[in-house]
This record gives sequence, C-alpha cells and structure tokens, in this order.
Amino acid sequence: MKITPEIEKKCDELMGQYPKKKSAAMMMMHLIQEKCGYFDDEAILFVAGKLGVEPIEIYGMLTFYPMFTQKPRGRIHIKVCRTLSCALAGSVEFGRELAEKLNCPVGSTSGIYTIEFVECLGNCAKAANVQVNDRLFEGVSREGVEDFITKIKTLDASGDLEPKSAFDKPQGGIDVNSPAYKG
Amino acid sequence: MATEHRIIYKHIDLEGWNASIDKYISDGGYSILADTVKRDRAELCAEMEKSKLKGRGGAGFPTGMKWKFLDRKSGKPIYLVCNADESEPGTCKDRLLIYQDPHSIIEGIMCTAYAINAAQAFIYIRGEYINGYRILVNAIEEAKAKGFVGDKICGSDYSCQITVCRGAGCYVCGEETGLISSLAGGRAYPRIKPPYFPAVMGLYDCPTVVNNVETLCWVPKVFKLGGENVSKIGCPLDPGTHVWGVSGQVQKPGRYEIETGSCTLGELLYDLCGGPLAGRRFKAIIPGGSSMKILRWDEKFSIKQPNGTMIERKVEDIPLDSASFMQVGTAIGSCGIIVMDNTVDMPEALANLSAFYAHESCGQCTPCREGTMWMSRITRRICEGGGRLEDVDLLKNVADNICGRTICALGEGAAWPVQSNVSKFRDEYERKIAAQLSQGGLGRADNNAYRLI
Repeated sequence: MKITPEIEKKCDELMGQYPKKKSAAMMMMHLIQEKCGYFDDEAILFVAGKLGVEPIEIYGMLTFYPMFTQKPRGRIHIKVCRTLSCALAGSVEFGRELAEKLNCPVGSTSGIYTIEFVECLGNCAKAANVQVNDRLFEGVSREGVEDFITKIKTLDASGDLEPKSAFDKPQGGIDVNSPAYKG
Repeated sequence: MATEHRIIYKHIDLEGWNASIDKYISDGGYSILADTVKRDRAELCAEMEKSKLKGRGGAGFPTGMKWKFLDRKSGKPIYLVCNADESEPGTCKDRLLIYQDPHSIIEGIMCTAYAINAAQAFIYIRGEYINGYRILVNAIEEAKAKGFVGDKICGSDYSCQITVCRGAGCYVCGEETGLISSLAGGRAYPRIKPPYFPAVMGLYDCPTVVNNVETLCWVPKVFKLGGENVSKIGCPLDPGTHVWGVSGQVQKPGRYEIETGSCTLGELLYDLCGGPLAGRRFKAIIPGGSSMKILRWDEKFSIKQPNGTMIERKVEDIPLDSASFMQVGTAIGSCGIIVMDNTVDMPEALANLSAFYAHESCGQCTPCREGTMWMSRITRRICEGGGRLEDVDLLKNVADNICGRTICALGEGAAWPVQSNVSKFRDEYERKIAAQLSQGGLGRADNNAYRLI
C-alpha cells in the first residue's frame, strides 16, 4: 500500500482542524480507507506515527468500527439495510436474493462486488434502503432485485458508480439542485 | 383532522428550495445570528430555559438545563458538539435537515456556540451520510465566506470554527459520552456518569454541550421568538413540535412535523399516513425508535386525569407528546414510529432488533455484551425452529438483568423491546414454540410477511 504525498498532506490538514491531533484519527482513517481501499500494517503504522499514538490504538479502532476493513473490498460495495423498518419492506429477502443472483454471498467479496447487511441507514421512511458506494437507493423491494441489478450495472458501465471518497467533491462539483441533495 | 405545523421542516421538500446559502439568506437566514451576537449570553441561556424545550435526540432532557449545568468556572475551554449520528432504527428526521437545509443547522450551531461561549464547535455526522458530509463541509465554507462562521462572526468579537467529523457505522456513537470518546480519537466507549457528565468533563475532559441536530435548529427560533412564546407552542409539558418519522407498514410512510399534543397517534397514522396497507390491520407500533417499549394496537390504558378521575385510553387516542407516552409506560424517544400490521410475526421482529443490539453493543459492560448476544441467539433460535418453551421466561430474565447494570443506556435500549415484546405478545411466542415442538422444523407463523431475520 502506498501512502502518497497527497494523502499525507491531507492528513496534516485534518490534524490542524482539531484542538488535539489525536481527534483526527477517525477522519484520517476514513481518508486512507477511501483512498487505499483497506488497512494493512503499513497504513496502521502510518496513522499511529502521524498521531503519535501506539499502533494498537489504531488497530483497536479499526476492529471496532464496522466501516473500516483490513480486507480489500469489491469495486461495487453494496450495503443492504437489514434493520426492522427496511426488513418490513423486504430488505432481508432482497439481500439474500441479490447475493444469489450476483453469486456473491452476503458478507463476502466476489469479483467486483462486496455485499453486506448493515444496520439502520437512517432513511427508514423510504424503506427498503440500499447504499452502493456513496449512493443511496431508496424504496427497493424484493420484487425489484432484477431491476436493481440492471440499474447498478448500467450506472457502473457509464462510470457513475465509481467509488468516490467523501473528501472529493462528487463528479461535476457540488450541485445544490441535484437529487443527491434531497437526501 | 391532523395537520402538520412546519417550523423545523419549513424548507424540506419545498418546491424550488435548495441547500445553497443564497436560498437560505433569501428566506431571512442568518439574520437571527446577526442579532444574537449583540445580545447578552446569560439572557440567551435564560430564554432557552424559559422555553422548556426538550432535547430531540431521544432522552428528552431539557436543553436549557443542559446548558445551565455547564461548568463555566473551570477556566477550561467549552466545546459544542452537534450530534448528527442519527442511527436509532426508525429515526430518519435529521437526514433531511442535513441534506436539504444545512444552513439552518449551522445557524443553530453558531447561535448556541455564542450563547454558551464555545471555543470550538463540532458536527459528528454518521459515516454513512457521505454526501451529507460533503454538503455540510460545503455549507460551512459558504457560511465562512460570508462571515457567519469563523473569525469575528457578523462583525462581533466572537470567533468560532466548526469542524465536521465522521463516524464509522457505530450506533453507540449516538450516546453523548460514546460520541465524545470517538471524537477524542478512539473507540466509542461510553463513559460513566459521574464523573463524566459532558457539561463538566466532556471532550478532552472540558465542559461540553452535546445537542441533537433538531434541537440546535430550534435554538434560533427560541432566540427570535423568546423562550416564553416558544413554551406556549403545543403542550405545556413538552412545547414545540416533533418531527415524526413514520416507517413500516402504512400507506404513506414519511416525516411529519406536528405540534405537540395537537393530534393523536391514530390521527397521525390514519389521516396523514393513510392507514394500514390494503386488507391489513395494525397490530403493534414502536413509538420512538426501536429502543422504546412496544405498544399493542388493541391495548387499553387507565389514565389519571389532572382532576383525579380515571379515563380509559386506547392506543390510537394517545396524544403526540412526551408526557402522554410516559403515561402509557413507553416514551417518544427520537420520534421514529415503526408500524407493524397483522402480517408481522412478532418473534421475528424482536429477533431482528435483538440482532441489531447484539451487533452494536460496545462490549465494555458484561451484562450488555453477553445479554444482547444471548437475547439475539435465543430469539433467532425461536425463529429458526429451535425454540424451547422455557425460552420465553429466559429471554425476560436476561433482559431484566441488563437494566440498570450498564454504563450507558444501550443496555436499557436493548432490554426494553425484549421485556415489552415478550410480556405483551407472550401468547404468540408460546404458540410458535409449541407449534415447532409438535411439528418439528420451521414453525413460522402463517402469514404473508417478509422474513425479518
């Protein structure tokens, strides 16, 4: 894994935003996760070195927070909400069927896909919700698995599903009129 | 007939509205902040106390009191944290404010920061709101360029920066001391009170106020209208409005902002949400995010009136305010209603929620770590055909032994759904297990609902 000078520069910038640099740990870890895809020993040592803490502290955070990972994930990372409101709309069955159709068991990575069940995505009123990379798909239903697969494949083919870091502005910059702003 | 009264959600889904600062200013935005920085801090805090406004994050603690408890004499810097880690299942009110009206949050934060004289403000947003993070950062940059955030706000002597920090998929970060641990740079372990009351020993062991997004959006309204006037909106014991996020099996799930006490639960679910799905009937509702105790739709309660007489109240007649829900033994929490109809198998619904808590327990306290795991295992085996008749009592026993024995409220949040579910739907659990024992294999309730686990 290569920690580029740009990443290091951004890390310094993040540390400058907090009264104590250790507070930047969460944001630095997000940055590395999104730029490098996962954490290896080098990345853990880099963050620990920057923040002046023992590597075990960073390793502890890495294993505590579900969004961080030590294994590379697929280019298309699908998070299906499994908590009650979405489950009542069929998300549990949706996830299992999706996994079967994409030939990628839930909780694993296969080819370009990673499928996970996650806890509440905070959009219960528009259940069922599925997040793919940085995009949210709301109102999916078990009956719509095929449509959903077609949709993500089309978006992927046109490059619209490319994993983008939260630190980078979405393609075309911030457009306050875009549907993304509607939540 | 129930109607919405939009104060906090004024701009949400409004035709022609967008998240830009120009739109916000065109609707009078930031004018309250400009007035606020000319006012006396003690007076502003007094207004907040007079408003009797309760926090909107779930615990319902009066916001004015929270500010009052701040240790102002310690000489340490004071911090303000906006809790945007909305992760209680069923709760989805803050998301739209972040995505569509970020400047109303920023104005709320800056008004609060000035009133409590905060050295710095933070927004802790959940990691899954990726675009929400970009929107907030962009909005803060816009506000900075116009002098509403940063140095010398609105030409005053007061300066305050806002830093946005992202969570990483952890429910317990919504608990204020857990959030503080995470923001300090570590695992989100909640800390025990005392001594770690945030108002005294919060972030970096300095006095800290942690307020929910919706609460902070109320602050400019209180400063403008005056605490006294805000306290007169809705119900005196719980003034203001609540944004109810209704999800689950209703015709029109959504977010509805309702003046407290102005309508009943039945009016909300029938008039605004359109009632149950075709051919179905309501069976149970969880009133305030999944941690709150469940209500059976056919339950009846005896309520003591202020004049001493008793009245009988059905679930659909409960007025939408915190005191009325307390009277029926539950709470409004974060106002996320989850509706379940007659097609839902209650043991499965509970197994779904128990799996959530087992996943989210931070692991510090043994009763919660082990208890949530066993409640999840037991409910799962009841769903998968391995239930035993004694499991019903066992579940309750495990839940009873978590309450009051943990550092934070996640323990109660995990135990309450189990306790209320098992006691109110005991017959359903016993029937399901008995059917499994007699037939062997999967004894799933005969209905057409989706699998929940």
